[in-house]
Amino acid sequence: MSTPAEPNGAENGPQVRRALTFGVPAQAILDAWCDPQVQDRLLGDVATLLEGDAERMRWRLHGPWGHEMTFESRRVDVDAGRCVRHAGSGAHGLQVATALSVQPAPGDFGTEAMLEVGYALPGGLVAEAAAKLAGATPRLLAGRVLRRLKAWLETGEIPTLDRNPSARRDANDPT
Amino acid sequence: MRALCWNGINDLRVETVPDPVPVNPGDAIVKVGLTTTCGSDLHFIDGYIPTMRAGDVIGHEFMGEVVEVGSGVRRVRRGMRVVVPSFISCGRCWHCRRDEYSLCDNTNPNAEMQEPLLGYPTAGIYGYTHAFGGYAGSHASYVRVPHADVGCFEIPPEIADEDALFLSDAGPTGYMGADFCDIRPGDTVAVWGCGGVGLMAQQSAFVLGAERVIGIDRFPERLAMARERVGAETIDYTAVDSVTDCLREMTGGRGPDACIDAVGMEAHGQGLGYAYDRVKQALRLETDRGQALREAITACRKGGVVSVLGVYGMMDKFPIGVVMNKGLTIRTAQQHGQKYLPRLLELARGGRLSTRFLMTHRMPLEDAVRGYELFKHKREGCVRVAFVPE
Repeated sequence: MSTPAEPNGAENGPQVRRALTFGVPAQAILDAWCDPQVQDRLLGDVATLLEGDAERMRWRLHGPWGHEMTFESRRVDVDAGRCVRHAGSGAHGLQVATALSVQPAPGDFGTEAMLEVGYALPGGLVAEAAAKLAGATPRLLAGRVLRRLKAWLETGEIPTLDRNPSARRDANDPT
Repeated sequence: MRALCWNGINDLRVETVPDPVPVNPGDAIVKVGLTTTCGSDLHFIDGYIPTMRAGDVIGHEFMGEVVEVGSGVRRVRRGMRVVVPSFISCGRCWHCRRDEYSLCDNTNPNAEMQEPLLGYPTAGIYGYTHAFGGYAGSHASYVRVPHADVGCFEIPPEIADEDALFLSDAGPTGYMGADFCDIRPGDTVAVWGCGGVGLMAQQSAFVLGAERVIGIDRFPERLAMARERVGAETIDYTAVDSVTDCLREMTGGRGPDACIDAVGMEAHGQGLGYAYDRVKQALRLETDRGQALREAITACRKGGVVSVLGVYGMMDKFPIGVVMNKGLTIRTAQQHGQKYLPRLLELARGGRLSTRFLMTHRMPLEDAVRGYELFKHKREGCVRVAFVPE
């Protein structure tokens, strides 16, 4: 039975939606999405899990230019086999609400997943512009997280260049 | 380790870079035995394909020996001599399960860079731009091979390194291009380009049952290879007024049943159309010089197949009206090497597929900059250069 999520302000801010088809059952997607260890892998260098379980998680967010803040999220709604909603808040008024919903895909495609993210950013347009400059726009991040979740569930690993960089970090540094 | 790095347009250097390390359980590290130049490298060396970064290790066609495997690798063992297709594929997603390995959903860490342009991202590839994953390439002493159980193919002892090398890319790309043509007995297949991929497409067309194969190029030594090594007829496009007319005459007025474009975005040609492409590409007003592809579409018989192996960007002046009115079928893809490797290894072992002749030059990796100069400008009869890391 679904219960309505409590509003946290994020629903009034910008919203992004990303869809992706997974070759695994719906419940596997929802279970993985609620697993803090999996979430930690999905967020990569954007956030580090400090502690948590399926209900509540506490994060350190790594913002642009070395800026960091703590962020707490909690599961606010479960529609069994169909949708999981989380809401979270951090310092300076950051509010985020996510909903991951799943439904059977046609034919042998598996399961269609839709990730919806609403957020209210501290600093408003200035902060949003800064996030864009840093390459971590919410739409981009939502797409990346969904792709990583798919790779994790379908292959047991997430594609990465960690510790195997091709280009130099700094073009002026020939090391 | 030493590696050939891209440092800007037409700026390659052999440098010392960090050794690769396995990160994911499915990774292997391969000590590169031989690695070769590919015509598609020239597109980013010349600056026509974006998302390269200074220091990128290039190269995507190679063979070598497995020296380390991750905890999740089951089929591949240390010491195994392997050839590796250039696209990295997971083997488990919807596309991989349909043998569409270069369309793999799960191996491009930079998928979001491709999405705006392609709509949906492709698989990752070794040493070929950050939009295609940003993986370090094979012109190096070692290379990290993700999903090693899917990407590493053991080379039977009867096949020498030199014969296995081109089964990494030129072989499967050419074979796939011929496979796309649905060749039936009596068919004539015309192939634009007598470089590594073009020659492999020509040879594969014969293997798949073509009666006649016609290779089109302008370099005498490449045309001679098509005739002498493959058994193809040839057209030197600089020696005829119109390739289309020539093909029409050679095929009783019908045109080739299938046409394969093994040239891509830096085609050379003649006439006003070529001049138009050249100027527009030089001014960065379009990404491609599409002369070969347009010619293939025009020359193909009604209801025929045009198989596109050449790499393209966002080409303009694409003759869709010709495609539509002639009822042509266009088939194209980056190579699905994992699909074709078992068959190609079998053909190579049985002597029905020969690839070693593509290797016109062989040199230490330290000389790779000179190697690319020879390759790019097709000096000294160069078709492919194989590099041997220290």
